[in-house]
Amino acid sequence: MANVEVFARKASGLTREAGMLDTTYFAIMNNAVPVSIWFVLGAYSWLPGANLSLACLITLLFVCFGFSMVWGMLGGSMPRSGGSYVYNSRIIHPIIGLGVSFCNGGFVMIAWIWVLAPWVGEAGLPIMAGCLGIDPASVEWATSGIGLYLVSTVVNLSAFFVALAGMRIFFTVQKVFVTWSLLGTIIAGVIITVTSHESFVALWNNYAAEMGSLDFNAVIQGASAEMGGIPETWNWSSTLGILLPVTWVAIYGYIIAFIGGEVKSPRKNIFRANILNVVVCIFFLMWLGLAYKKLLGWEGLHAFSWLQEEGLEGYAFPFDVTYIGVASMIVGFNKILGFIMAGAFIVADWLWIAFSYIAFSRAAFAWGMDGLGPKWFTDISPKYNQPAKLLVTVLILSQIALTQYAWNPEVLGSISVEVLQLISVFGFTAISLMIFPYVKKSKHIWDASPYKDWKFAGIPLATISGFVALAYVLILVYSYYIQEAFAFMHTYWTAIYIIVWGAAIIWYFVFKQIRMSEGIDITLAFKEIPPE
Amino acid sequence: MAVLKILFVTDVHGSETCFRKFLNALRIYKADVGILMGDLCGKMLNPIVKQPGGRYHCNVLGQNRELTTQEELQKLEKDIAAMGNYYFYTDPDEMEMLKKEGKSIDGRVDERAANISLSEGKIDDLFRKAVVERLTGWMELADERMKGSGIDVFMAAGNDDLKEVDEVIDNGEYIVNADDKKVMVKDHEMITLSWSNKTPWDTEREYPEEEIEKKVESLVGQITNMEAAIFNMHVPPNDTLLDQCPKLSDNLVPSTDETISAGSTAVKEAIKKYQPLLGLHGHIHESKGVVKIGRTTCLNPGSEYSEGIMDGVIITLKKRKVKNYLFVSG
Repeated sequence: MANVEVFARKASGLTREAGMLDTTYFAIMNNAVPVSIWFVLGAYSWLPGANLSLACLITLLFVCFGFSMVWGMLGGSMPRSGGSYVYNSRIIHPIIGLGVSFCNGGFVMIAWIWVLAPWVGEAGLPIMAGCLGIDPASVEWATSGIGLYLVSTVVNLSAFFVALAGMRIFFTVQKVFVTWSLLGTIIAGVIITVTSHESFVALWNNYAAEMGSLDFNAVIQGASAEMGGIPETWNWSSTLGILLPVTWVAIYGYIIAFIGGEVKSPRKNIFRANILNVVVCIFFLMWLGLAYKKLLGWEGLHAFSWLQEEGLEGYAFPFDVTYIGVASMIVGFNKILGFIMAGAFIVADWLWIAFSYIAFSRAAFAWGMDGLGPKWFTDISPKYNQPAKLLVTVLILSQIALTQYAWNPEVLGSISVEVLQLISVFGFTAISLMIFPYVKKSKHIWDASPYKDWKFAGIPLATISGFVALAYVLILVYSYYIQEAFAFMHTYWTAIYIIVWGAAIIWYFVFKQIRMSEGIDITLAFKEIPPE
Repeated sequence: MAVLKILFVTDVHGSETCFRKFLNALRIYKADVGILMGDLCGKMLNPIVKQPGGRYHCNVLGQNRELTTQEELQKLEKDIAAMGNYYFYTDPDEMEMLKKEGKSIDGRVDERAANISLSEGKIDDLFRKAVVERLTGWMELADERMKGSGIDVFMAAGNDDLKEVDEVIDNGEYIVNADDKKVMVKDHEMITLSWSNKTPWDTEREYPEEEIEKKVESLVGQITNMEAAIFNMHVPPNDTLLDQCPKLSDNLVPSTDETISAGSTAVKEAIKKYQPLLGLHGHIHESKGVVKIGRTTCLNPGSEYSEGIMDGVIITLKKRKVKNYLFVSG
């Protein structure tokens, strides 16, 4: 009793704090670590000379002191507020709040299904086949066209049904799948770490002789020829470019800010879990990245990345070259280990699809409740206790998107989706935190914030962190626009950004007018009420 | 028949800021009727402890604040009241005595403060005094501000509220205590229930479902036109969007990824059986939303009282139908 400072009544809501590990685990759930690592390790093919370790450290620095602070401080200051929609509408303006939500909860979630559901067919099934000793040619049908469309549809439909079944089932599935995905990553990491370069090359060459495939040096020479040479050392241009996929590995733990109302002690837990999530995810990436480089060498790293993404003539191994496939080969295609590692990729990817359903439907539900959408946006199915109509809407829109992708696949489209999300969500939310201490209409929230007294050189740490996060967004957007590898996407994705934001603004004014004609002024939903 | 505009707000939990916003919002939103449902009482009592040299010490939101000037103390009092907490001035000797009366809780409790002790004995008395003072002030403020406005204002307790709350509301001149009776909201009959089903916290007004069912039946018996009736019931209907909250472990640790339904089955059954026009609910702060149970529109505007944000819902009724509703946040 010695440290008692406050007395409490017996009142509902008084709970002990949730463990920080629980909160961090929830954050990590949204990062799909094994898929992200696969994507990053494939990036050497289009970003030769990238320094992954340096990119990881830059990301760790900027995300910890920028993005994590943004979501941690805003989530901790408004722990029951429901995420970026509310932060931005309260601190900046309702149109910005809606625009951010429209891009993030609306367009981006469909875009994630568009690009990520097909990855199960394009990469997940071939990896699984290779790990189980099945000829990847037997699943070739699933990697393009109608086959890819069918696999993506199965992924999409299963995610739809789990979302429809409700959060309890989703969370149960999520826990199992995330544990599986982390276990698979750890197994692959340990196998790659404990194997020396020499023994791997020997193993590869023996296997190549047996299969009549390219030996290790031939892979390097072939890839080097097709890549126009492998750089002797790292360069800044590619390192800047790889910041995008590396950042992807770490930033999606921001999801915990959206469950602020469901985490007690959010002022401590949301903040710390945001930081810890980044550290854990970057740790996995750095570990796998360094171990893979040790295993393959600098040239081998690039050559195998090329082999993963583009293939090489003469390559005849019965598995796709990924870090998972390589680990599986090292352990002699042990079926149990192979199944765990390859399955980790598939279930982690699947989780993103299921989460897109939940995110889209919750965002649209919030617009509906503010009068910024058709009334049916707020309908909850009494049978499923879920916004079933919105979930069906996601299914229809995403199936249209998948139809487009199946016949025009573009793995790198994911980078453009990320950039749109970075600008629309992370950028504006960083501005919100930056100006939070100075905005009159949200001053009462800031005054009650536990971060109010956190200052550096007299400047609120919130402002500094918001600035750091915004600066990092600008660096990442700059990296996107200067990379030749992404140049083919610049024009139409820039047009997409403009169209989506324009649609959000038009949407706001259309529904404002509709509600006005019904006698409801939706600006009241955001109107500041004087407390005096 | 003209449109009837109702502003419904719930669970302000002692927040001075939210109550004042509620009164001001009635005029700003041009409401015909205001309904402020419990919980009305705050949960925390912050001791402001006098230190040697004329200084004062207080722990707010887990942060230690040292104060010396009257302006600083006034600002502190205002900050504490704004978030719904209460305060009292004490000295180190009395604080030591009070600590011994408090019921020890292992570890930190609640997100907004560190080193908490559950109230017992004299601390309970301090709480009751603070609650009555704050609420009396609110009633006086309403009398002063609302007279002549033409806006009908109803209030009622929630499950967290001390028994003294009823008497204080009854003593107010302007605001009508709606609890445990039928009142007329213009042309609409409204029955109000402050109770909740059992919670893990053993609060003031929680009862088994069977007793809630009996109470609801007795209230329903007073309604003559169910088609236009309003069920103003603090606890939301069970297993709906309005009653989802984090699952708690046996020692009250909330889950980050599991939710449960905490609403009342008796309330849900009553709504299904009688099909009133409107259900107004609160209790589960994080479960803001709307659901239809048959023809009944049920609303929970949620609560962000601790941030000084008044969450509410404006409902427009016309020809005994719910014409529209808009969740507001000010």
